[in-house]
Amino acid sequence: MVLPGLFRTCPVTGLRVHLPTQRLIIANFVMALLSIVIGGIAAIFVGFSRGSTILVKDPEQYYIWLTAHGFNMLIFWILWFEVALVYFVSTVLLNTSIYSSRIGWLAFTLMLIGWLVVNVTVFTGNATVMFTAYPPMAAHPLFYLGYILFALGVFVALILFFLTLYKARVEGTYKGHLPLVTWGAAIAAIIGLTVVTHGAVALLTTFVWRLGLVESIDVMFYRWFFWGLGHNAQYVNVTAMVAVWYALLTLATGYTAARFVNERYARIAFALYTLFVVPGIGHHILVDPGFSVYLKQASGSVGSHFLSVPSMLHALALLGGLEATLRAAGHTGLFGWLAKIPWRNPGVAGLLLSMLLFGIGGVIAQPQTTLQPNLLFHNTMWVPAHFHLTVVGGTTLAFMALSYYVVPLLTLRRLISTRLATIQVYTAFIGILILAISMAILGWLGSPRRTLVLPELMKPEWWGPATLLVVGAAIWIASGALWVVLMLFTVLAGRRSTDPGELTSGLISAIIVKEGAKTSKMGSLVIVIIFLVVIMLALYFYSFLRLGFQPPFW
Amino acid sequence: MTIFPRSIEEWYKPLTREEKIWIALAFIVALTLAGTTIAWHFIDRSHQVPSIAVEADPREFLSKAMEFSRTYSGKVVPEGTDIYLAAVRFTWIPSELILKAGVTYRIWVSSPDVLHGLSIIGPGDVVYNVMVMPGMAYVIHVKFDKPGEYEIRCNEFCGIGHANMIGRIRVVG
Repeated sequence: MVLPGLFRTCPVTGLRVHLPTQRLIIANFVMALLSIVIGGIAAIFVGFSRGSTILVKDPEQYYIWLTAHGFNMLIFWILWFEVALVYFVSTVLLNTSIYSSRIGWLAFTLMLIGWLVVNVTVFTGNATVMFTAYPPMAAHPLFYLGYILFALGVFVALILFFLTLYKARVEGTYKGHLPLVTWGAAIAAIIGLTVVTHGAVALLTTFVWRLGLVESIDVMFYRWFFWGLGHNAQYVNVTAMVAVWYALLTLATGYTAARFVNERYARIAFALYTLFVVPGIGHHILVDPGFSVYLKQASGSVGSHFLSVPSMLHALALLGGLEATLRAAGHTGLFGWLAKIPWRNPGVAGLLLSMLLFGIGGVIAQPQTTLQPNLLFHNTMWVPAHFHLTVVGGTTLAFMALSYYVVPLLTLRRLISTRLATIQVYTAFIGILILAISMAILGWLGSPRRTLVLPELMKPEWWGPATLLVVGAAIWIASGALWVVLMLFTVLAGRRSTDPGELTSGLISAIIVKEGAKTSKMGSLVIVIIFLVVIMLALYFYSFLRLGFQPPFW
Repeated sequence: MTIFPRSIEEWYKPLTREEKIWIALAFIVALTLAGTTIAWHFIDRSHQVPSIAVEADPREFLSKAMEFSRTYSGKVVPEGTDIYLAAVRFTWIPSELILKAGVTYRIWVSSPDVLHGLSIIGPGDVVYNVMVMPGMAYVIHVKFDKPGEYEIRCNEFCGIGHANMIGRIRVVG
C-alpha cells in the first residue's frame, strides 16, 4: 500500500503522479540532459573540425572529442532518457508507483558511476577507442568496467520496469490493456535486454583480456557481440521513438487524433520489431573476413531488410491517423488535408519532421545494409549520414518535441515560449538535413568516417560537402542550444501554474471532428508508397548498377 | 487513446483497406530487397564481397608483405603474382602498387596490429571498402579496366595517425 499523500494529480491529464517516482524520473532526465550537453559540446569540436579544421587540428584531441561525442549521444543521452521514459509510462500512465524506488536509485547509481568512469577515462585520453572500442586496440581497463557498470544499471532499470508492470497488473491499478505507448516502451525494454546480454558478452571478455587474465581476444567474436549491443541499442531508440510519436500525436491534438489511430495495427508493428532485431546484427560484418557469405546474406538481407517492415508500418499508422482526423474534420482531397495540418504546433511539426528524417535515414540505409552494395558504403561518411538522420533527426527530435509537453506538466511551469519551440523544431530539421546530405555526398565519394582529414590529405572533390557539413552542424548546434535554453528557462523561470489551459497554451491544436464522418487513409498510403517504395527501391537498384559498372572486384 | 489504458473492445479494430495493402506492400518490398541481393550472386559474379579468408600469423604476414614491397617497389606487378598488402599503424606495406590494366590480381590483405579498413578510391567515383582484420587474411580479386591513379585509405579508426594511412595504386596501360 502506498499512502495517498505521496501522489499528486496532474491538473491537465488527470493522471496521478507518485512523487518519489517523479524524483527518479527527473533525476534520470537530468542526466540525459547533461549527457546531451556534453555530447553537444563535443559535436561542436567534431563538426567544426571534420574537413575544415576550424577548431581542432590535433588528431589526438579530435579523436577524444569524437569518442566523447559518440558515447554521450549514442549511449548516454539515449539510455538515460529511455530509463526516464520507461519509468514514466509504467507508473504515471498506469496510475501506480514504481515497484521499488530503492532499486531505481541503485540503477541510477550504477549508471552514474559507469557514466563518470567512462567520461573521465575518455576525456583524460585513456580511452580514445570510439564507442565501438574494437580490440585489440586497447583502452584503460577502468573504461570497460565503466561501460559494464552503466549497462548493468540499465539492466536493473529495465527489470524494475517489468516489475512495475507486473505490480500494476496484480494490484489492478488500471483497467483494460496497457496503453499503446507503454506497450511500445515494453517492446523497447525487451530489445534492451538483448542489448545488455550481448554487451555483457562483448565487454566482459574484453575486460578480462585487458586485466591480463586471458592472452588474446577474437576480434570477430567481439564485433558480432558488440553490434548486438551497438545495433540493438539503436532499436531501443527506434521503438521508444515510435512510442513517443504516438504520444506526440495524442498530446498535440488534444487526444483527438489518437481516436483515429488503429491500435491493433500499431501493436502488430511494434511486435514485429522483436522478431527481426537480433537477426539483423549481421549487417555490421558484411565486409569482414572470416564470416561466411551465407551468414552475411541471411543476417544482412533477411534480418535487416525485414527489420524495416515495422517502421514502414508505423509510418502509415501515424500519418494515416492524422489524415483520418483531418478528414473527419471535413478536409477532403487526396492531399488537401496536408495543408490543414497545424504545422506551427511544435508537437505536430516535431512528429512529422522527425518521421520524415527517420524515413530518409531508413531509405539511405537500404543499400548500405545489403551485402554487395555495402562495398560502396561500408565505413564511409554514408554511415553517419544514415544514423544522424535516424538517431538525431528521428529520435532526438522526437524526444525534444515531447519534452515541450511533458516538462511543463512535470514541473507545473509554463513553457517559456511556444513560438521558439516551433522555431527550434524547424531549425533542427534544416540543420540535420544539411548535415546528413553533406555526409551522404562525402560517403558517396568514398570519404572514410571517423577520420580527421587534414587539409593536405583532402581529395579536391571532398571540399564542397565538407564545408556544407559545417553549415549543417552550426544550424543544428544552434538549435540544440536553443532547446537547452528553453528547457532551463522553463524549469527555472517558467510561470508557475496549475491551470490546464495555461499549462498547455499554444501546445495543443484542437481539431474539431464530426462524429461518424467518413474517413480514409488513402493520401497517407500514396505518400508512404512514394517515399518508402518508389524512392527507396530507386536508390537501392541504382546502388547495384553503380557497383556493376565499377572495376571487377570479388 | 494511446496514452490511457483501454479495454480490448476499444482497441482491437479491424484493419482498414489501406492498412492491409500497406502490410502486404511492406513485406513485398522487404522480399524484393532481400531477393535482389541473393539474385546478384548469379547476376554478376565479378562484383561481390570477397568470400575467401584464411587465418594468417601476424608476423609472418608482415614479413611477406615487406618482402613483396622490396621486390616490386617501383615495378609493375606481373600477371599471376599474388600481392601481399599489410595495413600497419599508420601505413600501408607496400605503400604503392603498380598494376597493369585489364589484368586480374589476387590481393591478400591483413594486419599485424589492430583492426583497419581498406578503401580503394579512384577516378569516376570508384569506391570499394572492406575490413582488414588482424590474424585473418582477406583474399580479394580485382581487375582495373582502365589506367589511372587510385588511392587506398584506411577506413576503420586505428589510432592517432589513422588519417595518414594513404597509399596508392597506379594502374598502367
